Amino acid sequence: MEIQSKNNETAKEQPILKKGIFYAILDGVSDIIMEDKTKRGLTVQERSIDEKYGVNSDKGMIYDMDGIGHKVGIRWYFPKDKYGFEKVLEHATEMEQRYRKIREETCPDY
Amino acid sequence: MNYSHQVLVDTETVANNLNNKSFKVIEVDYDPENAYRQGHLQGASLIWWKRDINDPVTRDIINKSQFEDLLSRNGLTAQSEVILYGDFNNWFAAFVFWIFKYYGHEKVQMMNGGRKKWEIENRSYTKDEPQIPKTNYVAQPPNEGLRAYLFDVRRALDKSDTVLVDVRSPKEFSGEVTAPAEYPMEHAQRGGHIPNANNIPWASAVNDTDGTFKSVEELKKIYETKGVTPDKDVICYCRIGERSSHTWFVLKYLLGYPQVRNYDGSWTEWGNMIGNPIEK
Repeated sequence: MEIQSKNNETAKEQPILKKGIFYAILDGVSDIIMEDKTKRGLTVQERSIDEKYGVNSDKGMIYDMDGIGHKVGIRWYFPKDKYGFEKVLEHATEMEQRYRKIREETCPDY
Repeated sequence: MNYSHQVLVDTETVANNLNNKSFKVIEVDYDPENAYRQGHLQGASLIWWKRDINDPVTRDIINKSQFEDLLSRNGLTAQSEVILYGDFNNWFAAFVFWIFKYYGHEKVQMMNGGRKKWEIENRSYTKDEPQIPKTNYVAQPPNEGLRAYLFDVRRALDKSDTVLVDVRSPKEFSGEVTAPAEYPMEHAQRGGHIPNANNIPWASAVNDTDGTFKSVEELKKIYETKGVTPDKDVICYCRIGERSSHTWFVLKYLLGYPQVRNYDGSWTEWGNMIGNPIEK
């Protein structure tokens, strides 16, 4: 498939509040931003409300082995007036654990 | 446009002939869930690249018998006049065009611009899938002159009369990326390109605005100035063989080059093989 050139990186100057192997939490102007590091490099196709978290999220597309495209979240914007860092960290930790579990299943460290 | 073969049909002609039983319109998709299933040309059947064109077990295109079954399910006979179009800039329609020719189907054309142009023109789609009576299609033996295998490409490395055309993006050619993040299944162990290949991205051949093909004069200039001339034995490749089918189509059927082959193993084969030489 074609390389797309649209840049989907968040602004580099946003300070990192915390990062794990699979996530980063960034300090945005009005949002705490949770980023899924496994989705780095994806082109942002839309910003819309995420059903799971109920906040705005950047979404991209990943094509599976059959060529079927699936919309996936890249980063989520938690408004600071509604969410504190601890709540976002809770979501990020859950995401981290989910990916760790997949890694253990697919690439066990014997 | 004076292309060397009558292999293109414009959207207007297709729109005016959707009820014409002389034509069989087939949509070819990489991602049918986000294309055909969301709407397609009235009466068009679907060929899904992954399911219908690839052998389900071995990495290979379908064999003659599987091809015959596919075309029978699509209601075709050897005499059918087929119009192909599809998603992703007609890449996979071009791939299927290549396979139609590989198995000797004569009357096949592509709708210039594919879904992209059809949508730009706000033409209508339907979600109704046609009921197609099965036929008994009989194919020709494969024309291996249209296909390059790994050993053909290895042999070509020492031949001055063979030219390799790498139709991928410059970043793939240089090895900066092996595949975009969107396609995690299409990576190779090594990045770069086959030694001495010319990088002429597939998109050089089409107009940005609507995905239609450029004129003969423009196409000649693009390829000939890079040493891809009709007197050469030309081998096209990309990552999985679909974009290279698009360029194969341009060289073989729009410009009329006599000897052009598609290396469908492409970079996902070359870049994964132990010992293959690579340039960056």
